Amino acid sequence: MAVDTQTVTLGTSGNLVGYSSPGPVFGSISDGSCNFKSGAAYEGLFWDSANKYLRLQINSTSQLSNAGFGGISFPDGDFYPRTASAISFISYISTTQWLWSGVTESPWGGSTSGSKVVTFANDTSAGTYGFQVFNSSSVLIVDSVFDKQASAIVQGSTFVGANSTSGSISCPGMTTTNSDEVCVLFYDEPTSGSTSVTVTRNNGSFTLSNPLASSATIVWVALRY
Amino acid sequence: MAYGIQVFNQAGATLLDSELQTSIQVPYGPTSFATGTSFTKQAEEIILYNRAANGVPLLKKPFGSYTITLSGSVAVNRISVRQTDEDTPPASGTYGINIYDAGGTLTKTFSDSYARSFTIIGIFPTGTINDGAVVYSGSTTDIWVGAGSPDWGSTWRYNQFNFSTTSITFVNYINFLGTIPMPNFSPVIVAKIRS
Repeated sequence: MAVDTQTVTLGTSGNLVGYSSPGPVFGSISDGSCNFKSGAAYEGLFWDSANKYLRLQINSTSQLSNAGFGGISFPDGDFYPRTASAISFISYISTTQWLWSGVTESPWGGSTSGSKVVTFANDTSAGTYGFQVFNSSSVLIVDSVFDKQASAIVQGSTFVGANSTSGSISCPGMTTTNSDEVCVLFYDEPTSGSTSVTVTRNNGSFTLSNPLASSATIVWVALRY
Repeated sequence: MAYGIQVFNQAGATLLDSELQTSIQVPYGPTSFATGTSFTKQAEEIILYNRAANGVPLLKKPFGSYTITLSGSVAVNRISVRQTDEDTPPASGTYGINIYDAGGTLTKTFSDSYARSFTIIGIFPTGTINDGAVVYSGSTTDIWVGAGSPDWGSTWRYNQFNFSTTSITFVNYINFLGTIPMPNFSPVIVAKIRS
């Protein structure tokens, strides 16, 4: 169960990406108060691309306990359990640090700027949402707890005449603005250098426009992701 | 809902909805795609690519054809992404969830025959990025990308990618008295395979 949510505005310093306040100073965090450590200030949450470390730092005058902290979820679906980290107290910057080693991929999804929302989980599984399915080799095959599972809302083939627009295609859940959640992808679509099939979003439906001088059958899928 | 399952996260976002959605699967593990070879994809599946060597793999999928050819000298890995309904689940011995309607008819299969779980990091809708845009920065080991129907010729590259170990760049240009960068003609998908 989430016990805190923070918005990190990414900054960089050399190989470091994320937020840090004790120095070097880069990025920022909001609201910056740690709910599971009595409102102590977050002093760092950053990835070291050279040494492959992820560090979480919280202000303290002595080493904090692990109590109440179960791990961090990042927007692209990665979850870093606290049990996989090493805790230490860094006196000269008055911070308790949790360090994850071997983090070869950016937990920020490759971004070095912009805002990212991270969620801090409690140290109990009680109340966690979703489910996980493992195969017989213990490979995670469905993970709705930390991944947002991609799903097909509807798919099909649509014949569109030359320089024409299709009729309305029903797509429950689509709105004019939620392209970061529902998107139309193409299995097969015509392109010709400077033109492409256009998707016009509506509330609960969309249309396809064929800009070419010849008719085309467009094969598509609308995804929720 | 009449039947099935729905799963929401604590923010209220839909994670699974068996009435309105069908899950997407990666039905088999990554396959090496060597230069000078081709394969034919299913009509309703998306092919995603992952770095096998640095550089720009020259991929081609003509409109109306489902055969994808790799030319040039840069190999890639490929996976298929498609609805679970496209495959017949194994009869027994597998793991997952089936959803039945009130009459006992199997309506959705969520996980039988899944090879890997994956998550979509992002989708760049048509016209939102240009040639040279970095679509992923960081280790590219488990990162997979794809963009509609790729094509190339002596003076153009459409819907292609430049792979390195630390980033993936979108390649989409025409060379006419100089390189003219062009916006993406198709949505660009960036995904990560769970392991």
